[in-house]
Amino acid sequence: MKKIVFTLMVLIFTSIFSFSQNADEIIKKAYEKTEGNSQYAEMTMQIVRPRWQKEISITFCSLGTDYSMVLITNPSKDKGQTYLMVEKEMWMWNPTISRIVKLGPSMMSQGWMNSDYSNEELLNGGSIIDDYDKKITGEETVSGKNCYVIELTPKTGTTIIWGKQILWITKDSNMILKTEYYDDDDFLVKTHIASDIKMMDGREIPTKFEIIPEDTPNNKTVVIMNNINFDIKVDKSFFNQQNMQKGMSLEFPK
Amino acid sequence: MLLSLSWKNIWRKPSRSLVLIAAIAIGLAGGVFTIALADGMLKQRNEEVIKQQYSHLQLHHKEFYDNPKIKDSISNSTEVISYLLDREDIVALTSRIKFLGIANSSRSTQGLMINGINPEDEKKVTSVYECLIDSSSVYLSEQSQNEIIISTKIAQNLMLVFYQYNEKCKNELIEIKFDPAILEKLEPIIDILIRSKASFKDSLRTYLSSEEYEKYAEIITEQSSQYSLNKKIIIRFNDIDGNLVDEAFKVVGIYKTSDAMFDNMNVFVNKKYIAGLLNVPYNTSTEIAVITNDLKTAKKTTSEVKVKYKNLLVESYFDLDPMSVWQNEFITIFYNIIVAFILFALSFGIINTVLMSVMERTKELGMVMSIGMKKSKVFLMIMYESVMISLTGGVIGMLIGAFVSIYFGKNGIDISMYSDAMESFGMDTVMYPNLELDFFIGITILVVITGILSAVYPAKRALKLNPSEALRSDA
Repeated sequence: MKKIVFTLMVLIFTSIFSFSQNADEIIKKAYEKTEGNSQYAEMTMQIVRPRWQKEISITFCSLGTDYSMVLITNPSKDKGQTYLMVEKEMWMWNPTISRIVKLGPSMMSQGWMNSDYSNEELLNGGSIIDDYDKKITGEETVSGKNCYVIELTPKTGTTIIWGKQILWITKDSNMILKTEYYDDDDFLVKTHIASDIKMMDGREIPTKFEIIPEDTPNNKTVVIMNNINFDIKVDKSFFNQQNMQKGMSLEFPK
Repeated sequence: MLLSLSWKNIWRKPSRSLVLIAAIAIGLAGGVFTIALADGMLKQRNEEVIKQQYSHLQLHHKEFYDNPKIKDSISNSTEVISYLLDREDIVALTSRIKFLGIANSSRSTQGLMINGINPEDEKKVTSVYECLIDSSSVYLSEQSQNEIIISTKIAQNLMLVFYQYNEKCKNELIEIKFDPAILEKLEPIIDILIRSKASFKDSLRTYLSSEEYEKYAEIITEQSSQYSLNKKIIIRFNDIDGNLVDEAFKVVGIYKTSDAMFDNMNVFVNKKYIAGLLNVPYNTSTEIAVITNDLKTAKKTTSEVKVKYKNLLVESYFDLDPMSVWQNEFITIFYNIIVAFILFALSFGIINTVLMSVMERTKELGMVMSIGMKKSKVFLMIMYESVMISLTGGVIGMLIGAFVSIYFGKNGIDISMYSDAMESFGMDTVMYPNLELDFFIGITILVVITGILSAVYPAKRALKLNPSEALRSDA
């Protein structure tokens, strides 16, 4: 009898264990899918505010999670501005003042180009995997796709400001379709929505990303991916300050 | 002889003199009380800012104010501390690490002045531990790790506040005699947690009419606000080598001092813990704050310490809070102007009364002059009358003023109705009038001078009298 109970316990525990392993896997795969090793992308960012609306065109190139370069190609007011992100640091080059400005810690949580994306988010998108405990809490359908609902709670001792995150990841293709960010009191702070799934450079990925903050109604930022190339040939040496200063004449490796 | 004659003259028409004395008494009582109030407020503010932030004496690295960096710490702090502790005129001291950082919550960001404190020493010097407002707030302990105390203001900025109209809030509103009809209307939102002030007000707007909303929304919102304790905030700062450090802190306490400016920036953490994060020895200090026996001796102590440690910036409270010095000077001028104005107005009453009594006594004055009283004595007699009237009124007024001031000095005057504005100037909402003895001496002198000056015109009129004509007059 005792033996049976024991084996049952073992079975139950191992199944729980494998379930949580599963959540890890799913998230890892989902991130691999969007990030890839290196990429080149052309995007349009719409910043929607109650009184105005702005559209920015961006060319973007990255290597791993530590190196990226951003060039703004439109509107003419911001044209030629570049951003360089290397590891935990971020610089901006502005052609009108011809000067490189390092973004200090105080600017990291401000919105990038006044959008709802903070500089911080652009910089450390990848820390998610290690710093959270992950748990599959259910299954739901989001925009016609079957999804796992995965709850992420920050591990103690990490410097994550969220109380928790809830992710909806498609079962078949490991795409993150929706992310909800909650504060310590379990209030929703903002929602990330990914949609418009298309084939891009041989991969099926969402091409429209929306971020909707909860505290400020009628505000949102939409990013539309116009073109993306994965696994481009780019070297670390591309991400330097000389290249930043080329502005509009900077040639991205595609 | 002349004095008693004058005194009797005053009481020839008791009601007239009494009215004047009463006028002077009331005028001066008002003046004394006003000044005591102003003086008390100032003293209170000084004491409070000393207790809450400045202490009597502070030591820094010479370049501390230009840019508070960890590198600019007090290099020989251990030696300085032991020297200061050996001095007899020093009651308590504490050392701090003070540096700038940035706090992030899930909704907002704010720049901060981080105070790494020795929790137990700090208690002896400043009163932050007394300023904790929420009942579940805890003060730091010597073993505190990543615990932090922030102000109500910072909690609001970081949006660690939520709004909930609940039973407790309802009872508090009932206690302050709030209109029950309004409370009835709020019933649907009871116990609903709302994160932002704007949406809480929006929900009020849906249940209240626009007039009611205008009138009561603020107070309901204020009563309903609650602070989220034990929540995580991320503090970011540079360690001694310039590396960026991110650290999660748990908000264990919320404080509120009477100085809104101070509250806007300052947070408190355990010094030993933060020193580890900054990668410096735990006894590093960028600030040493000292309490001396008495504020009056602080200046002397400061100059002595200054001589001993030329490499440090040694400042007394008067250097740290230059406003206080300016205010003290201003208030002295202010006293004299107020009293002078009151007495100037009253002097017309005195002139009038004395003049009337001189006119009434034309016959009598003519007689005393004709039996050989010297003109100077007549002049003096009238002057004595005037001075005695003003002095009697003055003394009574000062006594009333002092009595009222002492009474309120003990019990305090609650002005919390206007507290918001007062608080942002660093003042408490309960005022305690304060009187200094030397200020009565000043008033007495002013009163006597007024009496003398007021007598000049009537006395001159009396001297102009021709004794023979005066004798024949009807009055």
